[in-house]
Amino acid sequence: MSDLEERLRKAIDDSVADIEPDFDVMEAVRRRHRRRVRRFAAVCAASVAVILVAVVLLGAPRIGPGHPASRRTGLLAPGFPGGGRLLIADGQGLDWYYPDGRVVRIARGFNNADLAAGRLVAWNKTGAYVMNLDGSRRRLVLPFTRGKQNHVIGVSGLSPDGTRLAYYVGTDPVVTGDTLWVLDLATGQRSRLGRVSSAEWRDNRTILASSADGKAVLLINAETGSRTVYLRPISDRLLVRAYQRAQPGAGRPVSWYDGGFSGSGSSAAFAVGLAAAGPYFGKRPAVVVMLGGGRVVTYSPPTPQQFTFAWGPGGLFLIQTGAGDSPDWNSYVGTIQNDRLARPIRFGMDGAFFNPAGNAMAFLDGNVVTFLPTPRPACLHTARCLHFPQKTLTNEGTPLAWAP
Amino acid sequence: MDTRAAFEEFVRGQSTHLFRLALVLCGWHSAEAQDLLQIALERAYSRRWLLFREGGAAEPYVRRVLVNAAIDRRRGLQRRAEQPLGATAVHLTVDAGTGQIEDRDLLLRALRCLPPRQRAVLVMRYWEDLPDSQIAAALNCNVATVRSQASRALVRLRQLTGKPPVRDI
Repeated sequence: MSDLEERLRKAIDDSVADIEPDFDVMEAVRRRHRRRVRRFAAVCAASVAVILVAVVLLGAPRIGPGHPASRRTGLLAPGFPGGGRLLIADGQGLDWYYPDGRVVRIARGFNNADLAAGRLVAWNKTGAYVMNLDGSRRRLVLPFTRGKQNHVIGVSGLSPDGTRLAYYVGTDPVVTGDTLWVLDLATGQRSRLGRVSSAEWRDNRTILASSADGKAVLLINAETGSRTVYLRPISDRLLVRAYQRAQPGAGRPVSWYDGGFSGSGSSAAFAVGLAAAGPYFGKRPAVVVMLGGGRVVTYSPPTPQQFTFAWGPGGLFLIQTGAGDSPDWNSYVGTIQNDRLARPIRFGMDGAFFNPAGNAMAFLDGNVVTFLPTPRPACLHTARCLHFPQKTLTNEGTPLAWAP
Repeated sequence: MDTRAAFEEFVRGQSTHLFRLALVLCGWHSAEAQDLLQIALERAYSRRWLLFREGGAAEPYVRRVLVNAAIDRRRGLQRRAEQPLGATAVHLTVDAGTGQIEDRDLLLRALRCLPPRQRAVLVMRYWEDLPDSQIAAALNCNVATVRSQASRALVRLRQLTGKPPVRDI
């Protein structure tokens, strides 16, 4: 060992020779050990708590229309501009919801319903009920009591002002011929329009609509396209002539897809289709809009497939064309003032409606809702209409209609 | 003898030496040395309590924990550019006028200036008379590293104390 190393050893020895721990080492170690145990327990407890919270949150059922939390949190509220509420039904069409999550409780257990002017007409096997949209003031307006058979409303048409209901009653399971009626919801009086041939009825393939003044009722057999068009005072002959004007040489329309009266009741529009075979095969479908004063406007969408038609506020209408279950449907927004249509938009959709502000809403795959443009004149000729803000809805239902 | 009794026996027998070792390693800061000793003993008891049953096997592990904790702490202090206040230090009793004490004080101050790892090597090698293999085990390095660290530490110590390195002929 060198001198330096020896001096270093001696220096360290001398410096610590008289030093003893001036504290209770054992007690200090015990305290430190207890602190470590407590800290470890706290970390374990916190970890378990975090895991439990994560499990609870991740394992919770999705908040959808059927989840009670949706009524509290309003996750279904899309917050669309212009007010109004969207009525959303679940996949079964039995439970109806407002977008703010409130359930239209009275709609439970009904087979179907119709909506107009803030009123709801819903029916089941016991009868038809009219009520406000929130379920209040529910009233049985049409009991089904005939015999022991189940009686159903095959189709219904609530007038745009919500005061009259066109309907017929059939027997389940096969709805056969019966009488077509118009029911005044305020007074309960009903008037008979005529008897419908049983061969022409196939329940949900029938279109029924009533005008606001009750003077016109549309009833079309969509499956057969036969001559069961009841129009009062509009004659089917006028409708056929309008269609033939749109499709020269097409003859009589053979398929009827959709139709209805505008909100004012002064106009009626019908979507008529092409023949699957025969001399009319390959002819385009058309929308025939009959305006007041005898004017007729027709429109033939470029897609020669089936399509739907819906009236919107302010004379707007919405056309959707496509092929059955194909995801690619075109939407068109038109007006009857200028007979012009907005640029077509192609997307898969679950449905499309006008909201009260006059904006058309299309519901795409993945619960995405798209605003279609309001067809102002400038919009029809510029690309601005192609920019559509989108919003994701949290719902698993099928959009039905806009409620005021 | 159960583990608890063996541990208490170990603490009673070794705590003084381990405290002195901690004191030297941390630069004669008493509070810091107490902390290091508690850390080493508590960690050894929590994690390697079986060692205390085997008699003597616990000491290398406690020393290893103590030395590495001291090195880590000094490194942390260097990174933070902070040093404990001098008021907490154990003041060396220097008898002015005595050349031997002046030399000891000079050596200890130079030792404090060494990097923590080199300081630990010198302390274990020349004060505790540990073989290089045990030092290497305590520092978790190989023997060659211990020797090189010791060599560098001595060179640095000579520089700090003003004595030129002795060359072997």
